Amino acid sequence: MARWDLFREMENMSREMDDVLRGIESGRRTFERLFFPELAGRGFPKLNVYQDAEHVYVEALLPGINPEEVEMNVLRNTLTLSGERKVEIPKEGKHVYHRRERGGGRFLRTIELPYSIDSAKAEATYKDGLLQVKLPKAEESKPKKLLVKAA
Amino acid sequence: MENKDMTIQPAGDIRKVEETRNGKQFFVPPVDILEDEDGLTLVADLPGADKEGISIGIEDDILIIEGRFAAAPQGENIHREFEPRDYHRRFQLYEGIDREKASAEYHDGVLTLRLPKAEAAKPRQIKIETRH
Repeated sequence: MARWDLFREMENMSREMDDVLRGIESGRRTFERLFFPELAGRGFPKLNVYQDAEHVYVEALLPGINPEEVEMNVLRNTLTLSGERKVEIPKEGKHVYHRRERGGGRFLRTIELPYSIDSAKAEATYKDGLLQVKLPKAEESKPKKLLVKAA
Repeated sequence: MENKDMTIQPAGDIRKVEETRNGKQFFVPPVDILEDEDGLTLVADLPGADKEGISIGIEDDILIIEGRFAAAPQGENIHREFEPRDYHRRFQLYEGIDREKASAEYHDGVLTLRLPKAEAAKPRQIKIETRH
């Protein structure tokens, strides 16, 4: 009967946990680094939202798209972004992909902003794969200090 | 659409991928690597990086691609789905690439790196196209 070695048992368990965590981690990492994941139905592109007194700013990571083909709609306090990055098809001839991670395809994202927007004055720029949208707040949305009273 | 050549150090053939960790947190950019008869094309998504902040280099046969995230946040953050992190990725290389003819272009957040094969590595003689 083999002796049961506590330390070896713990070492094995620790190695198994490492493998599981590495699997999860690399899975998550793979998912995180895609800008156009093919299987995710929602949540892309990734957006950051900022504000100052006069504007709301939305940034979206959208590498390799044609900005003229992006549709952007602003209605009251809702912004909708949609478009497509075409998947590149290599030219004729023998070729093989060693890696194919970048993906492509359609995207559609609607985000509700915390303020009403004056949509007539919305502006957007696209530089180096980053779409930056500048949305002026509607007059009644500009902030005034509010005090929250504890009940 | 710009099409600027960037000076890079020459690279070897990309076969094996090796990624190592750095102390800082980085975005690992997704890449497509396509091999044809004439060489390798590596395409990486680096949205938010400016051309001046991109570096492509070789250290001991490892190709390193780095990009500096240039966009500065405006105002106060109220919703965040990505951090403004720099990009970093490395690849293991070996011989077979014509180092002198490597080239790169960058626009709209997409870096395209072209690594032509050395004549000896090609299956047969193919006419060499001149690139502008």
